[in-house]
Amino acid sequence: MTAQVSASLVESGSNTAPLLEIRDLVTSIKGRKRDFAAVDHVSFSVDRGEIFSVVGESGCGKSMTALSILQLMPVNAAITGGNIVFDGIDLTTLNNSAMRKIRGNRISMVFQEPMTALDPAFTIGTQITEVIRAHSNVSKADARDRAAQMLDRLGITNAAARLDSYPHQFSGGMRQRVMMALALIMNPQLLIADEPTTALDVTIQAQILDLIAELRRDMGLSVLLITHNLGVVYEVADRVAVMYAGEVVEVGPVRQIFTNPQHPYTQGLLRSMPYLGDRQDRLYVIPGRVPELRAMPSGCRFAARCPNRIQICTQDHPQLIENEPRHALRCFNPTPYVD
Amino acid sequence: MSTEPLLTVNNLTKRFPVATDFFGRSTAFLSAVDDVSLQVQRGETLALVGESGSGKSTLARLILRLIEPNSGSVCFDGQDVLNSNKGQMQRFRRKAQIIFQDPFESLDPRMKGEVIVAEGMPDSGRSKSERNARIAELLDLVQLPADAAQRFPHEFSGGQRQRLSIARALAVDPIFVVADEPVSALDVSMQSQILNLMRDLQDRLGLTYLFVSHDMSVIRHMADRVAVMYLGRIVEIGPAAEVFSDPVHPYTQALLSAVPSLIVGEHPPKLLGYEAARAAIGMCTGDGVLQAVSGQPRHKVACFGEDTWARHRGQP
Repeated sequence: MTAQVSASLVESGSNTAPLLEIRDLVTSIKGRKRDFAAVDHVSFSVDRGEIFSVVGESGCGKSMTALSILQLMPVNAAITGGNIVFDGIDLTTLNNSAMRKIRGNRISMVFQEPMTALDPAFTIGTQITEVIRAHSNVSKADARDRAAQMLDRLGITNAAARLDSYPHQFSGGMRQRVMMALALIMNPQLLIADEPTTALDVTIQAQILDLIAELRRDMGLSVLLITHNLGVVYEVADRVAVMYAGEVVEVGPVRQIFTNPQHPYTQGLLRSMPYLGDRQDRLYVIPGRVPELRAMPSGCRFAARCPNRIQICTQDHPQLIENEPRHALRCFNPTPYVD
Repeated sequence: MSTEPLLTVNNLTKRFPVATDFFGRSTAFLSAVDDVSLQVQRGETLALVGESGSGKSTLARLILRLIEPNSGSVCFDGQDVLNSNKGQMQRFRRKAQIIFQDPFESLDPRMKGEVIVAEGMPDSGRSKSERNARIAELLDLVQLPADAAQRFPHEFSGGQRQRLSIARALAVDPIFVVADEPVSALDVSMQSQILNLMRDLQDRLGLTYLFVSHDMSVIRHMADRVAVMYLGRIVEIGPAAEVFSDPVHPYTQALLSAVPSLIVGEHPPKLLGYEAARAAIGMCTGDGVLQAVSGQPRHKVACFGEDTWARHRGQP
């Protein structure tokens, strides 16, 4: 396994093209009369060895974007535009069986709920070896060895014996480690983590985030981290895309976005968070609410709630434009951030 | 307003059976809440913080007598809650209310907003129009539109649903509200609205809150005093400003240093890693008695390993 790891490191080092490039992705949900774009012309890329985060509130399309990459959308949703290029392959052109060879093998995913994502009726060992034997031709004993090694690597003590345990015998944090082991067992190039720490306690969350950072460092793993937690983004990610109502509204390096957010929505999110310092009098509130998928305004989707709104905002739809290197913005009237 | 505490809890203990023998007799117990004593003053917010399994929610439910403790006493507004009869309990329930974590599960999907809000209201002595006026007043109080009365829970957003459950709790004019993780199921922008609303209501109605949460930054915003729970015990309690700026117990320190933060340098210094904190608690030779931190008479910490204790005392 070590040999495989170093091989993939060398490979990725020689290639400077992004590992994953999403261009103008549109994922639509079938409606009774017409379709609605839950993901609307979303573009971003994940570099090799990078932790890229997509952040936004419920319903903004961040999870749908992640599911679209692996073509795991619900049955009433379909990719209706754009490309998803992974290591030179356009995933949107692949059929089901070709896609199955990628899922869990070259791209894998961890989900939010470590309590429900594992099958309660099978031991951890059975569930991990099943993945290994589905993707490669190894004996049961070898697969078990590899499973034990991976659990050990992820900090589960007495790993070989724990293979015979059932999911309910693990705590939440341990189950999330098992999920990570399942996702990483085939040594994927890209890990998609959808709210991997949301259901966990803060101290366990810190351990899982440390683990993700460590795997990136040691295995050259690229990570697409989907979350609503801005603190988590700041802690581990290199770059971040902020999504609102199905669109990316701001994207750039994490430090830059958090110290100098340009989009009024990003600014509002940062202002409305309580923090650990001195007690605040009132928290900032973003007025209004997210527009309905069925009634998207034709102008800027944030205009109705925006403190910087000018006339053009309700008339034209702003484009995502790079205003400084690696920092892009979808806004007609950005103003400097004052906390 | 009297100066005695609104709520006094003494030596409250709850054990759950975790194993039974052949005859169904319990052979092993888990102490979810272990000999906890605390007081809540009128008009203040006491926050209970801890991780899952620390016993914070169990303690909140014990105080409201939603579950019965094995031992201990709860004195609320001069009333011995655990030895109250049915009529006295009814009066207690009118004064002490609860808001639950998940507004998606705690509201009946088949009830309209007005039915949900009015469910707890006393029937007697009110005409229908008085009742409707009161419902409108409550909806206005939590800043919901008047037509919310005619809508069903699924027509509301998460934040609006939580407003509705706050209105339901306030319908009986309580003086004390237990909020069990009231914003953990909400998005950031909704969260700030609900937290602001709760503080406004406290100012307007003079409410006393017991605020249960695992989120340290939310607690920093809401709490006057904080009680940190670990394995069923309070390990540190005191004014929020002191506990946050000068955490003494290794577990409190670990909790604070584990919070992902946006502001560089905002973390309290990482005095101990999480594992070290667990170990320190494991080594604890003390009896768990809360002692005052020197120079901070209202800030108390459960005695733990002598070494760590000495090191903190040695600080200027």
